[in-house]
Amino acid sequence: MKFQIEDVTVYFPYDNIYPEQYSYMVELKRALDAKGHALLEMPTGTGKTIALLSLITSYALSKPSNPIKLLYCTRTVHEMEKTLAELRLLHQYQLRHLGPAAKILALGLSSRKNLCINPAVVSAENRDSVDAGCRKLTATWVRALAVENPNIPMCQFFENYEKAASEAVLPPGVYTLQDLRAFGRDKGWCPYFLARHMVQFANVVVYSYQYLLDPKVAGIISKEMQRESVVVFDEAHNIDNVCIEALSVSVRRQTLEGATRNLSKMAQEINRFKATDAGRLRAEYNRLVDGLAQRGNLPISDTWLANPALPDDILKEAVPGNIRRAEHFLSVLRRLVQYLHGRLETENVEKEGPVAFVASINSQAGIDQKMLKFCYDRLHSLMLTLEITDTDEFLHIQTICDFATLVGTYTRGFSIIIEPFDERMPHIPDPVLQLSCHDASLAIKPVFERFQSVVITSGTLSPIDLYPRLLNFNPVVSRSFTMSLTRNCICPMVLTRGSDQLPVSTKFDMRSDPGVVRNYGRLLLEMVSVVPDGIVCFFVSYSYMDGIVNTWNESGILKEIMQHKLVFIETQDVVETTLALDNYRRACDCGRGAVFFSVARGKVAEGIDFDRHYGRLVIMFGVPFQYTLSRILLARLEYLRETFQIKEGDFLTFDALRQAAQCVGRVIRSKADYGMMIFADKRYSRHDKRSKLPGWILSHLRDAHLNLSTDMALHIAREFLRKMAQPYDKAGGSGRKTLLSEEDLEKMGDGTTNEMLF
Amino acid sequence: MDFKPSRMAVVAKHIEAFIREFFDQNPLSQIGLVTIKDGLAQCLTDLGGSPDSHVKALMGKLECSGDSSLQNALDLVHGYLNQIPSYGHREVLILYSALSTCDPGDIMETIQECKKSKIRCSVIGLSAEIFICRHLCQETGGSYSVALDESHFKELLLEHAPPPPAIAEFAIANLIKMGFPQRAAEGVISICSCHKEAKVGGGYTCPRCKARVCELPTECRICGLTLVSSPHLARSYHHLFPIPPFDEVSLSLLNNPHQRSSRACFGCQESLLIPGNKPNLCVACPKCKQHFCLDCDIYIHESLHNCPGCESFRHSKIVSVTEE
Repeated sequence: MKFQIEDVTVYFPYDNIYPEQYSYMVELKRALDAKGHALLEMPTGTGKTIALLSLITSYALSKPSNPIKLLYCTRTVHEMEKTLAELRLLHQYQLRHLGPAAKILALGLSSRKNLCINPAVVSAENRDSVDAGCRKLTATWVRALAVENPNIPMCQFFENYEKAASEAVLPPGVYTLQDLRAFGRDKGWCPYFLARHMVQFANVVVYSYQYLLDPKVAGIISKEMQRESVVVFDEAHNIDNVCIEALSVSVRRQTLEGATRNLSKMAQEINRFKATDAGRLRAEYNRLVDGLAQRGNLPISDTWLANPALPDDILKEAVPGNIRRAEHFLSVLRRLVQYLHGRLETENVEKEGPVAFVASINSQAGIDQKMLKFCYDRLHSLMLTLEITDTDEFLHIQTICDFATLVGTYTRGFSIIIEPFDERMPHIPDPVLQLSCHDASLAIKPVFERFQSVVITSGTLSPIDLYPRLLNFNPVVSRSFTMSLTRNCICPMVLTRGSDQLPVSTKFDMRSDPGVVRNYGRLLLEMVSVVPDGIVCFFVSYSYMDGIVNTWNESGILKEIMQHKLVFIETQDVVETTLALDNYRRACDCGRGAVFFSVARGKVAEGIDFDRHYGRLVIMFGVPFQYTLSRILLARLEYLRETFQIKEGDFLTFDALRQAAQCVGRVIRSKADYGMMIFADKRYSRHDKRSKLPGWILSHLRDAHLNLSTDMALHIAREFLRKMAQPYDKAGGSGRKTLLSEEDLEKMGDGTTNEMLF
Repeated sequence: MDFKPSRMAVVAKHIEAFIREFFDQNPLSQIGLVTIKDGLAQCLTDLGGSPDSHVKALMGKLECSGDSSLQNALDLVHGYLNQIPSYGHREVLILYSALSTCDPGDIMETIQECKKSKIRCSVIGLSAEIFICRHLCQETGGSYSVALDESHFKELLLEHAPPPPAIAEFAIANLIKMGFPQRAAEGVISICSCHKEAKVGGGYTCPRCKARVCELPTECRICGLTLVSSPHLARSYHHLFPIPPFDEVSLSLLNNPHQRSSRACFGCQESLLIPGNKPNLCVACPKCKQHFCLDCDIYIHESLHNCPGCESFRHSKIVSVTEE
């Protein structure tokens, strides 16, 4: 369908549109008009992605003189492919209506692991070894050698790509990663380098968060993006954590040992070079005197990671004299590793600010702040000079330099925490030194500054006023949309007590109470006997899950549960969890029924959908607060309070509730779906907790469902399931219009729009 | 809120009503009862055409325990229904109280086999929607519904009594030998072949072997001939050629003075205009375009199963052909 939003003609590939999609587009359009940032919350299953894509591409089409570029960030490769598939549908529709004028180039960009088509390289098991494998075949010096010696292997795809030079372009169209690989195979060109090259010219680029947020990667990939771009962060409820992780480094004993090994290897290399090719080292020295290598001039296959610090904070100066020579630099690094080793030997937990830490390095190891700051670039330059291609071997020393550069660059918003052992396992020494970033706004600041519009969107962004404070920006539009439903297909409930009227909670002083454990067990037991197919349970942590499942096993509850449904458990092992999930799905498919035990904040809670019969009920046992004794969290809370005036309690509750909402949100993925959500903790009935749930859950949470006991919940569940099994009218009756056609939209004047929708 | 006094009692009660209704609507069909419990499927009654024997078997024999296995049940039923000649409908109606199925093998294969044998499976759930049941019904072309309460359950169950419209590709025309026995004279004592005892009066005599049977429809115990009465045949027959629902006629059309003839109902010849010349609601057959009043509409669809307009039209056509 085709309709007007103010002056923009929007092309939408479906015949009908949900009212919330329409208002989402209206808001988005306003943000684009104002060239400002937007914060939009809309429940999953209402077609956020297509609404976004269709509005932004239509907006670009309506302003051909000044086309905007769309950078769409997703969290996973799977989501990336889904987004591109939808974009293709949209693009075909636009081509049908506008003809060749609508032609765009859209592509996905991912790591070599997902794009490489050289069978010898891509067979490696992890991302780093694929990267290194690629570099071994494509680095300039390897190729230079190969010209003389035909026995040195090269990647024929890369060679073909290089040979084609400026002719190597993608014709307009929409390319998923798979299409890129197919295209590469067809032409014999390397899809990875082709994609990286084409990113600059594409109208739509879909890639992962890291390409914009992590300065190490962003410096290479996203440097050339124009200002007239719209950046979209999809599923961005955890964006603050991504930002923080991008600037945090942790150093363990293994890292230091690995770094020592790397250093001695490098020392050997240097000696070898001194004997054979002393001019090379001298050339590097001269280059460093002039200023650090201009990264832009490096051939595309030689760059791998840029500086971990943000672009504004990198000094454009010459490298300080005392680390210009390779041997000197190595000895600086050796002293640094030695110093960190010494710090890790501590028996107490230590917490320091970067300033004090740098001062102590200076006094004990004789390395000053400026040297630290240049560590990363100096290492990079040295590795290029030494022609090191197996970069995956040198990850450890890179981590150390990463750390050094960050410590040297930032004085605020960071802290260094050394813990001699894991808080939960005090008998096993596992010292770790963490440089943790507390300020999510640091990493995202360049994105806000560089691009015209940044759209942050997700199904759960409540409370929506906290995100601008955490990320330190001013959105021109910030809104939360509810879902228009033909029937009440979600049924959230707050369960506060068991059948025996004893309160249930995972509060610290109550969680090990046998009564609470028993009541939780009875709740699940009763529920498995009335809910068909799949049930998902979320616990607050792995250790709590282990504990409670053990107790249930001892008291026989688990056995009773297994008579009704099979039980599967998420573990920290990815392979094991994938297998469990697979079998869980099979058990749901074949009618046996299954329960999946999972952990809030785990992999399952973040990325796996339990739609349709895979999840008819999700039980959230307890409130998933973070581990509040964690030093990093405490440090961050302190920083948030001092800098942004966010109270500790507020932040913790916000964080716990967004995790809980994320968990229960797994259960419903489209409007035709239905599911129940049980919040099993007495604390959920309190207003300060409850009010932080997203609006689309709250609007279905009836007052009568706020303080339930197990038997009452059981009764509600039975009725709900019966009611939902009845056939229903998908388009919605005349009273509640949930699908709008073209005529409906035309009928709605601007004035009446809002009345009709809300 | 669940079924009182127990699901089992409620199900048994309504099954009885269903069996009677079913044989009333489909006198030529046969039913067999299967129970699913303890992971097994057991045959309660073999396929047969006598409502009383099923009802008798049903009473007091029902119990519930253990897991249920949909696959075992389908396998068993598949074995029975596969022998049915291809002109018959093969239908399974499952009343499912459990929320899961505990199967020995891959149920998906069994479902595919049922689909291959053109067995139509329908499920009425008693508690909630189960994916595998929905899948089964979708694959085999049946209907899936979940009962809200007792009256809804009864309604859903009785919806299954009239047969589904025949699917042309399955219905291969075949000639079947049938006997139309005469009712035995009153007062004559004879030994009936079904109960093996002497009876006075009543009963029917098989036209081929002269054996005596007590009730119709049945199969003669002696010579194996299918015995029916002609009303039975007629009642079954109409399901194969259902009358399409009549369309409502707009009132303005009726007032058109040129169409004087259609102002009366074709069925009862009453005027379609209520006194005062206001048009009453009326309908028209989509095939013969004749108009009918609402009373005739109901009578035609529920009892007569023939459209008088189409019948007379066909008749007149035949006449006109012979005249040439």
